[in-house]
Amino acid sequence: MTTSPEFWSIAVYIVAVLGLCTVMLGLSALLGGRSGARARNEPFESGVVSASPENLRLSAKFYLVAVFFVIFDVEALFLYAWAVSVRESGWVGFVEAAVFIFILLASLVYLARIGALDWAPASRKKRQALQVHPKNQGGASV
Amino acid sequence: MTSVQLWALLPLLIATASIVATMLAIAVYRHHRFCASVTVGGMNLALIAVVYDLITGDNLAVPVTGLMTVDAAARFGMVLILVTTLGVLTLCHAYFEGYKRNREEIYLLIGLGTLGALTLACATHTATLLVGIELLSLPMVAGVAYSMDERRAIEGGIKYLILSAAASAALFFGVALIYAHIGSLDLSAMSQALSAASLDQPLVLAGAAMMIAGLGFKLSLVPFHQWTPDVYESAPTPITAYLATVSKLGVFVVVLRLFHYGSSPISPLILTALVGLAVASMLVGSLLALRQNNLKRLLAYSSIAHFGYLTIVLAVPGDESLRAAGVYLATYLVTSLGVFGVMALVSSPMGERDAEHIDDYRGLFWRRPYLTSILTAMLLSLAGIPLTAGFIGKFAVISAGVGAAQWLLVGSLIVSSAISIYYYLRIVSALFSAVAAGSERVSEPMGWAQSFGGLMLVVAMIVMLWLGVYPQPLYLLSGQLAQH
Amino acid sequence: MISYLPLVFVFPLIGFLILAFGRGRLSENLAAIVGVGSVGLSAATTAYVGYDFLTHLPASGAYVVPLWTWMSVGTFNVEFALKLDGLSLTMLSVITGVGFLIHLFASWYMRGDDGYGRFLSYMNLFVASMLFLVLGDDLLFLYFGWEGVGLCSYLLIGFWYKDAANGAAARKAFVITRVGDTFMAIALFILYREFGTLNIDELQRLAPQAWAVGAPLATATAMLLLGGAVGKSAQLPLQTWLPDAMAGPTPVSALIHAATMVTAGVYLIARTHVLFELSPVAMQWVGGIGAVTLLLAGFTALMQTDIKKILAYSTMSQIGYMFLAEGAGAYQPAVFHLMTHAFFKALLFLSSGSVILAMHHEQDIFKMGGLYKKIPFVFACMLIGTLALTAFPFTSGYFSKDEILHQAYLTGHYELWAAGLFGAFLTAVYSFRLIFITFFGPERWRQAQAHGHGHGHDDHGHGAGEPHGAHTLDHHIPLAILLVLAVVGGYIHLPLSAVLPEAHIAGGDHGPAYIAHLPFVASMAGLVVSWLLFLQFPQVPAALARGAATAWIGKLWKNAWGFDWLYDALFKAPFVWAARINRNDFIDGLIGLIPAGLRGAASLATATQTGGLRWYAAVAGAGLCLLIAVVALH
Repeated sequence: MTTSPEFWSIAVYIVAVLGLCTVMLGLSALLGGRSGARARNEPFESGVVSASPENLRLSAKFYLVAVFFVIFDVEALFLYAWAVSVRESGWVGFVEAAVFIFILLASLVYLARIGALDWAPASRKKRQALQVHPKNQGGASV
Repeated sequence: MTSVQLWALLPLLIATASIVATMLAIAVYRHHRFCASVTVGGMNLALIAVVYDLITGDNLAVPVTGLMTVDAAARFGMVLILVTTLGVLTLCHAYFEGYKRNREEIYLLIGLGTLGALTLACATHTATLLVGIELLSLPMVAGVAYSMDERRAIEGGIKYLILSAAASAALFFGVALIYAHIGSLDLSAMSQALSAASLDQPLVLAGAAMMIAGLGFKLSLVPFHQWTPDVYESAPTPITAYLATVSKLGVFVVVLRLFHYGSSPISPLILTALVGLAVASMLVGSLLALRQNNLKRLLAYSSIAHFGYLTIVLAVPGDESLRAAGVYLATYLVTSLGVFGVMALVSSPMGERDAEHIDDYRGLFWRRPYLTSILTAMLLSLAGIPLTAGFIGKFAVISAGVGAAQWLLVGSLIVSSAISIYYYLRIVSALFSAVAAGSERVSEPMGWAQSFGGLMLVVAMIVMLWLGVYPQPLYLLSGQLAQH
Repeated sequence: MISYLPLVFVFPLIGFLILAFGRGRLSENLAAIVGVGSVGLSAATTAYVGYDFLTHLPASGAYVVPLWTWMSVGTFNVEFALKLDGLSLTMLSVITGVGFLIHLFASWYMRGDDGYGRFLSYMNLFVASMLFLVLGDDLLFLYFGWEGVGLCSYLLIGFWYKDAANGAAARKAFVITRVGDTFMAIALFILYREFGTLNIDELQRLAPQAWAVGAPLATATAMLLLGGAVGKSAQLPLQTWLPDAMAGPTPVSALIHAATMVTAGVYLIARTHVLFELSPVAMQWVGGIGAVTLLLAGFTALMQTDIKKILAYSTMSQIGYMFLAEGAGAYQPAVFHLMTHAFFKALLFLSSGSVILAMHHEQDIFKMGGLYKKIPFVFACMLIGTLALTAFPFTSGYFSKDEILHQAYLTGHYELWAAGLFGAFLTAVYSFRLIFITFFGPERWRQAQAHGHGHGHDDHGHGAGEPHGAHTLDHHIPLAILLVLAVVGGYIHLPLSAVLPEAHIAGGDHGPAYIAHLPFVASMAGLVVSWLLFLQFPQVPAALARGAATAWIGKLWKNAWGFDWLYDALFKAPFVWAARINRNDFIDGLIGLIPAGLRGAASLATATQTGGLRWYAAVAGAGLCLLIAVVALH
């Protein structure tokens, strides 16, 4: 197999990546101290003793919000790219940006309507609504 | 952006608009038939746009921004994609009618996937390839896991997500390697590099191997096939149909652009890899299906074998093999829609479980003779029995393979077909076997023929037989694939 | 006008589809209207197209209506076109015209049968296939129709499938004709390999250029085609299926096993006559087979007691005449006889069907007798049909058979001529035997009745009761029209001269003048002999049956010269024997290794489908590495 310079550079790159990983993992294994105490396997939270098991369930809403943030914030980033070239891209660019914003808005409307932005699930919302007007509930049941 | 370009891009624009419209429709008025109609209407408009373009225009290649080109091959692909999508949509309507949770979002997902497939059909640049492939795969992850209450669905979704992401990574790593050599991301330049690849270009070769692996995953070629049965099994039946048809179709158009459209035949080194993949897919696919009792898994394996057959055309240079590819794709799509269609219609009212075990179909003929006749005809077509569309497709591929003296491939195809007849006929014999009264597993709705899904099935049946008896128009139409 | 041609076979096809899908839902009347009407429309279209053809004769002698390109893959190109020339028009008229009359009769005959719609649907499918056979301009399409009519024949022979014997008869017909079909398929392969086309016109143009007269390949092809023709037309040595085919309903025997399908072999030889002309040996075989078959069948018919079997053997013998004519190069008389035979044999079969129904499903002529008083119209039909069959002057059969014998003589085929002449004598003997025993003499059915009552438990339900005639129009009209055709059919002039060559008359030798009258003399002699033997002195045949030697010959004739026995001994017995010693199936054991191996491989492959995500990823990764290794480290 004949060789070309680009192949060598790639080969060197791959070797370097592998080498770095090996060195990092290997050195820490070699040099790091080992200790085996009772508390070693406990979760470490800034010195505070953990109060509950670590596999507690976070509400899915946290993830949802994170995803919405990524979607809308990152997509808004595209508008910056447009903003610096508004004049160059002209009306075509304007129309395209308008379509883009419209689609973002439409998805926002969609998310709002399906209740993705409500923090409380639909079932609890109903319960809360009943608690605000307990008399209605009571009156109806009597 | 000129009006010609806009006009050429119209199907994609309409598809996009119909997705947004569906989203708004769900937001405004959540109603199953209404939301389905919005998507179906949009896809129909897009189809009309393509067909109008095909009929009236002079079918020129219209490059759009260097990222896409709408040429005859793209239009042919788009027609197939849109027609198949419409078929799947009708199945969804029938299947999800009895579903308890939100039913409308499935149309959104299918619309997005179709947009991805359309993008792939027009892609001439790896950037478009990236967008198209992800747009096609990601909605399908959600589609596979659509019945969230089932563990199996979630499991399938996660498998598909992770493996498909890994495959995309391999694909784009390959792209990057080739880019490092040729300095261009254009698909035609890549295709040129692939045909000229020689032993002193290790970057191109390694890149080609990784691209083949990535694309092979999407087409579920052996050894990148293992996700297929698990995902097909866990997905709702219409989504399985979609995965088996549209999802592979879009990718295959790109594969043709990469491995077939070069000005010179493909490099023998890469050809070896493709031949190996094809042979392995045909044989392993059929072997895996041999003793399978779950119909969905069986069809997954058979689709592996079928795309093995189709890969033969990549090993045969020239326009005739492209024609064969077109014929094969069209016949495969019609037949798959038919088979999955019957499964979906039989499954829909069951709620908790799809009718997928072979026992569910035992003696079906005595209860639903017409539906069973359609299923039988479609299975025979998959097996490639003469006078069905499947025979024509297989005949075209074999004649292409024989023309190029690819005896290994043709031999594998014949062996695999011989095995396949066994497992297809096994189902057929189950359909017609006597069943003791009271042991009927499935109670499908009587009025299936009145639903859109039933109508689609009848049309698919007619088209399938028509193509089997009189394939010439399809041959002519498939010539589109050779114009690029 | 000519563009209406496809409708000719589209109508029966639509009729078939309606009947097949509407089975059990259509009333008998509706099914009859669809089934008979479709063939009627087809006949009307034929008449219209035929009139147009005859008034605007094409210069080339044929109209070709290209329909569509069926398939075009690379160099493999199959175009489908219909061809209408004098020959196909003749066949077309016979199939649709006689076919329509038989359908009409069948709609009466089959009333009350469980499978009424099924019967008519098969019949329509048969007509469509037969039309396909004669209209295709390509041997491939001819073959398609050829197989189609074979299938319909199978379905209709076994129509009353609840009786296992009928199923066996159907299977026998199918298997034996299949032997012939295989020969024909090989002939087509040879032709395609040599000329790259199966278009009949092309073949007729190319074959004489490529092959010299008597070339070995030409002889092989012609002999193989003859094999196909012999199978379909029930000639020696593949004739044994036809008598068994009488298990089907009588209209089926009339349409398929007398008027149309069995003459397909004659049509095939006429259609490809250029190929046969290239091989004098094959021509000799055609004539020889015809002559031997007509004699053997004639003797056999003498001893039969089943009314339909007599007619079946007579059909065999009449087709023998057609083969004989073709062997002598006299194609036009052969096709002429094909047509007249269709008329009078259809008439005979339909009348015999009527007789059988009148006798409550009794087919043995020795249980009939004196029927001419009971069913006079049917008797008239039968008599006219028999007169035509025996070539009584100025009936249709007279013209065609006379011309065959005359041309055989003129072309110098004296041995064929002599065989034909003797055959004419035999024909008269056995035909009038049928007439005399069935319609004259003592009323044997009365004895059978008394016999049945004497035992008191005649639960067979037939053989008893007074013969009763039919009085409906759908029974009378077909018979009446066929009656007229059987008489005047000989005056029809067929437009065949542009398609089929004239026979090569050797050197103007017309022979002595009495030659032309000999066939008539032979028939008359046969009539007289028959009258003497079976009506005046019935004790003579009875005495003959008692003599050892004559009884043995009678038995031989009755069993059709023992061909069934011979084939059983030659083919079936060794096969059964081989199957028996190979009961454990040694070869199947070997073949069984394949599925066993596959099953093993399948379980190996299935073991890889663990369902584990990590394993899948690992396999894909390993595959990728392998791929890179294959590509990069070639």
